[in-house]
Amino acid sequence: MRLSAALVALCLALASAGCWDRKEPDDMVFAVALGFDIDDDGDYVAIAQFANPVAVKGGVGPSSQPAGSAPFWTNCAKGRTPFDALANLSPALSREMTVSNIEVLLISERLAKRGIAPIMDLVARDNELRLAVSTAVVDGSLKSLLESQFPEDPIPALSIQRMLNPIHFIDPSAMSPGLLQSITDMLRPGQDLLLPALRFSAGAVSESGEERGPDRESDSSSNSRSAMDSTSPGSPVTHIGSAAFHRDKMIGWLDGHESRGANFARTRGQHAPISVQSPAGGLVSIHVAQVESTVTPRYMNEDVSVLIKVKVEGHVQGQTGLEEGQAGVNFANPESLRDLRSCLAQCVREDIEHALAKSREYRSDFIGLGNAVYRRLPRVWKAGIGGRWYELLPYVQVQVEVEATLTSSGLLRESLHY
Amino acid sequence: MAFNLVRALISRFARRTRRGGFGASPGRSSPSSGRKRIDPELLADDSLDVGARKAVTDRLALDARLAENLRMLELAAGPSPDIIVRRIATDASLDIAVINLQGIVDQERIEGVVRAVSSAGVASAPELISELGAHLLRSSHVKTVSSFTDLWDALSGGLAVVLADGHNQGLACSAQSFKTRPIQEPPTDTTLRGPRQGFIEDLTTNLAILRQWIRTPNLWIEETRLGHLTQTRLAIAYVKGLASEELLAEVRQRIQRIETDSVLGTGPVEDFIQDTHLSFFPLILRTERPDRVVGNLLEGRVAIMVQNSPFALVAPMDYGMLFQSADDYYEPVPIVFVISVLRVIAFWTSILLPGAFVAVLTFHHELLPTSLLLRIVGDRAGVPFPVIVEVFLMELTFELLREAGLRLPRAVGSAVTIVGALVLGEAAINAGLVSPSVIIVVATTAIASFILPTFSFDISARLLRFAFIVAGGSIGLFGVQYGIIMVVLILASRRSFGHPYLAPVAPFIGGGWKDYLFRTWHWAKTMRPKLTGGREPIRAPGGQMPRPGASPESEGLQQLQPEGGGAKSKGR
Amino acid sequence: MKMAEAREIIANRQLAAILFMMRTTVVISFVPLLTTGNAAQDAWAAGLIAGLLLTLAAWGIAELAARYPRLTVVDYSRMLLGRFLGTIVSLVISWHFLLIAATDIRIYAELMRVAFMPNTPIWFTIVAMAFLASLAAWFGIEPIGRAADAFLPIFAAFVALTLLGAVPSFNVHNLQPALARGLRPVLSSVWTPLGIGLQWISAGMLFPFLIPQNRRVHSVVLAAVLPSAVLAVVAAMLVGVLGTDLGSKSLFPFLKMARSVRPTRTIERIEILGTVAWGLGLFAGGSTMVYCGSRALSQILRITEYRKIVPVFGVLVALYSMYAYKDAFQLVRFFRPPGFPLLIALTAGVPYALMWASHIARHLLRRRTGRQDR
Repeated sequence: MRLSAALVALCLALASAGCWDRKEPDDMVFAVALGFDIDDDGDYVAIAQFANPVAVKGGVGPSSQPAGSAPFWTNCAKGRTPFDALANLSPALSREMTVSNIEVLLISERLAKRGIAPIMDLVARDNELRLAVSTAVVDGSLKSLLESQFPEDPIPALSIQRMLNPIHFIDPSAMSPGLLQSITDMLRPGQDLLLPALRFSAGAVSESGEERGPDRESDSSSNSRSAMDSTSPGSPVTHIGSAAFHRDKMIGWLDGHESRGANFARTRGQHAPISVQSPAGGLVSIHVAQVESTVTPRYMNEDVSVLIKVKVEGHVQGQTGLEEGQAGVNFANPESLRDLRSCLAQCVREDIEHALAKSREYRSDFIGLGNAVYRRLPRVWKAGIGGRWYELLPYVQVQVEVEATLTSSGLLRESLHY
Repeated sequence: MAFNLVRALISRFARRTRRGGFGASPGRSSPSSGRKRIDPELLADDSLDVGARKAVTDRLALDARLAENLRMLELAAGPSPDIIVRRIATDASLDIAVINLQGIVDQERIEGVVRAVSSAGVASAPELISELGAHLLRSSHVKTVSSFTDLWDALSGGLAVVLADGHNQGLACSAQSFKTRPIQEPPTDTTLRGPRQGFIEDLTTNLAILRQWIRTPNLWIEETRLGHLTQTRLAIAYVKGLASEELLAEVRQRIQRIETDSVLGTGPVEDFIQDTHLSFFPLILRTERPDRVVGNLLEGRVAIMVQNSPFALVAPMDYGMLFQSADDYYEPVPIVFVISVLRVIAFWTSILLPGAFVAVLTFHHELLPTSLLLRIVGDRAGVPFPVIVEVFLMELTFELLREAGLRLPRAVGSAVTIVGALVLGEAAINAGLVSPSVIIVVATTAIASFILPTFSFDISARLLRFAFIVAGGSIGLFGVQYGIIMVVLILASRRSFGHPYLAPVAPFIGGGWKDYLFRTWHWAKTMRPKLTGGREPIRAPGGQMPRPGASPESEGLQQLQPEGGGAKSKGR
Repeated sequence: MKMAEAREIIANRQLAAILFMMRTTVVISFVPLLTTGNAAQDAWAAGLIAGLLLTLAAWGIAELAARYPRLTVVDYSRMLLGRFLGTIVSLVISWHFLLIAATDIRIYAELMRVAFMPNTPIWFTIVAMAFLASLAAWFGIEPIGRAADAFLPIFAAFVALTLLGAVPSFNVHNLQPALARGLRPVLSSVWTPLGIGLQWISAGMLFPFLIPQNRRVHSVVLAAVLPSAVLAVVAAMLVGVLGTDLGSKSLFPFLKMARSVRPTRTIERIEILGTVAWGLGLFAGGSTMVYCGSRALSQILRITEYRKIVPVFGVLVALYSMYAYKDAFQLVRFFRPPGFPLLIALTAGVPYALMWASHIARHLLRRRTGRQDR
């Protein structure tokens, strides 16, 4: 009798006191987005966006006063190391912070240029942070970005995460690796990181005061134009372009075209809209649906050359230049189809060339030419090329071959006459 | 002084019989002839306890004098108004008494007995008794009684006893008419397409139902009596040649070991013969439906039935039988498969869900997707209790509701439902005492727990659920996993009458899964379950899948024969 | 309570299930293929080689046991090597069981501490798992076998689901250049998994209990092939998803992989599957080890009822687990070659080699004397 009473008491004690790791959801405050910056003294700044679950629900709940009316709030703190900065967020919080549910990890441009290796180390080592979060480099004020409201979700972190992981990549520069891919890209021999860029649109003014950013690059290609610059009216952030890294330091931005080119070279540019010059005058918009590319290195006479073969497949979505009397492209005519295809191929090739040019300029091998050499010609790599790859990078001959196919012309067989 | 001597004698007899084993031979009659004759007047002493009285009555033998016998009856059975003694003087001036217990006999038959007795023209009492037994009494069943125990057995069994003055033996003849309810569908186990038969409280009727289902002479029934005071009839039924002899020996041995003063239905019997009393899963199947019992008998199991209980016990039982319902044999196979899977999922959900919920919310926030987590946390804002206390409270309230619903008359039942829904649901949430997600979890658990056909009202599952809540709330999913391993381990070590309990899951017996999860069509059931029906493994020949192309012109020309036997037996 | 209190028996299939789960658990926990040794992207090749060698070793253990079908390894070691040396060998084998059980439990406890519950003291997890293993061993090998039978599909399903969930993040480039570094680095990763395969010695203890008897050796050997295949696949997956650097530098790569992937939009977090599978496998392995160890000790000490030793063995396992390794670093260092493989080779390889030699010698001697008699 006594024994059973003791057991019951023990169970109840266990049940109510809980054990060491018990964290009631009420005792936690959930960080949904994390941003890292670095200030002039070399101190890391951690900015966290916390969710306010009560306000998220929108009022249907207990009649007691909700804690605050905003669905999220931010806090920032400084520290000597990233972990220090994170820990320094706690004194301002009434509850224990947990970062196990963060959706995005953002890095400011300044920190990216100083090097993101400490951040990566923290994320890989910490038992709460996951490598499955999406990450991006922010052009603009990181703090303001995390503080701004998005029209689609009450909690901005969810919007940012969805922006970086769309189901169908509409934006041509969208290539959003999670942190896992970022780290593995960084660690792979002969490969450099390319992170998506988020532009904070309440004035694209970075900390240094200059107007910088991918938007300002003038597109030099005559064959293509695309309306990638407009931001939707309510959204404070645009996902456009990428940031190129050399090892763990950011070197520079890539604009929309160059990112697209890099994507094409890496089999990632699906669903990109390209407008090509129509053989019948005007422009034809083509939606690229499939991209397949191979990077083949060759080694001859102490020289490394690379062949990039890309196969793109797209379908026509629209055309301009349909003046009076003009019929538009005659899709029944194999000649004009061939012309259209070669225009498309040319467009793609130019994008890739732009990307390569930037790659050489930045000494950042984000396309992975070096990695291709490492994988396909391991002996060559080991023999010495590997050690000198970044010196050799500008001089590597790259040949780009594009094969374009058009699968259909949409739901119209022929263009309409007006 | 004589009184003290009598007292000493009684206590000595009482002690000897107690040591000798109460119930060692409960239903036997006739003390051995070499014993001293006991005076029935001993029973007039009010200070004797039940055991002593039984010791005396066990040794009483009928006297030749009718008056003595009637006095004995009055002393032993008291002034009960339902003992009817009809004194008759026959034509030959013999003094006869026809005794019966009113209420369990058919009045017409008693009158028939009285008529037969009074018109008997035999002169001497012994001759009268033998004549009556031989051909004068038109009853289906007669036997002689020579001791008080026989006499009372006969009377309480609904027989009429004829005692003659001048003979120390009487005659008992059948005149039973027990009051029982009609055979109806059992309330605890209903089917959509099956027969609407359920066992009732009368053992004879139940056995008759079994006989109607299984007409082979190989259905053997053995009967005994249990309980010193209640003398309850217990019968075991099995198919001889199919049920294994070891199983039968084990069952018999366990029943014969029972020594108690009362057996009130199958519950006590189950307690006595189970493999272990500390089991939280049932080790013997309890069912009210004849078709379930028959199905199990035909697979080599043993059925145990007790007078005054409509529930039959089936041994051995295994884990797969928890999920069987009678409907499974009457519904189409694909539906039954889906529902069987649903039952298994529901069972484990009803045990694990609250514990896992508590564990995830308090230990492993990172396992929930962010939007779900925020939604749940938002719902809980302002609730003053920790998650585990909330879940406990709601589960307890639900248990209270459930128990209350069992006892209430039907008229009030709906009020309880409404009150429960309103109180638990709306009011508690609006008051901010519980969160909607906890209500959903508790409600889902409750609904899932009602899906199991066998297990619905068993306290064991509920205890397990609470144990998992405690485990989950104290050590998180590690605790829940620990609990699962513990439960499976303990189940794996259990045997029910020698039959491993977790069969067919573990040891993995492929054929056994046909009764557990993957039902097959009846034409595909060619083999019996290996463990219980292993003596006669082949149930039916294969190849009976319905096929197009059978030509009725050549095969179906002969009409069906009343002797039956099936097409295959026609010498093909 | 039981109808047949006879000798305990378990089916071959159940022993195979136990061995499969035991090995798969340890090798997916900290993936020694990747984390010890230098194989990097060729870890899968190392896995295959280790599997091949392990199959040979398993065959050696099983064949020797089959020659003495009713005896456990304690018995025939004493028969073959003489009382003194045989007893030493038996004690060493018992120590092996202790080592495996304690180390497995410790690895699991470290996982719990590092990845899920940092504030729970490690003795709690260790004591809980040691208690569970002892309880299971006390029940007997039959319930352990049945429980393993029941858990095997869940275990396999969870591991498979975790691997499936990682497939979208799989990048075959990480595995290239395949086998370009030569054989040496690959071989450097082979020894530790091979040493861990010493768990098969438990088959030597359990042989007398297995049925049906004609397929015993088959199942034990087959039970060595399957987990090696799984191991190779897991290693390939890990390298493909995590890359060589991150993979070989993680403490628990499998868990890391499960944590780092996001299979679909709705199913986001799958690490719990792998952890539960691990717990189930640990239970199967740990309880078998405690059972074998208790039986071995009871045979050496000539105590008829092995159940009396089970609590003692359980306590020993818990103590060893807690105090033999000071921290996670020491645990990792323990497994590094050449220390660990050498230890196994000396304490298990040499005795078995001696036993085989003695057995063959006896066999030849008997044949020769048999011929001489004629």
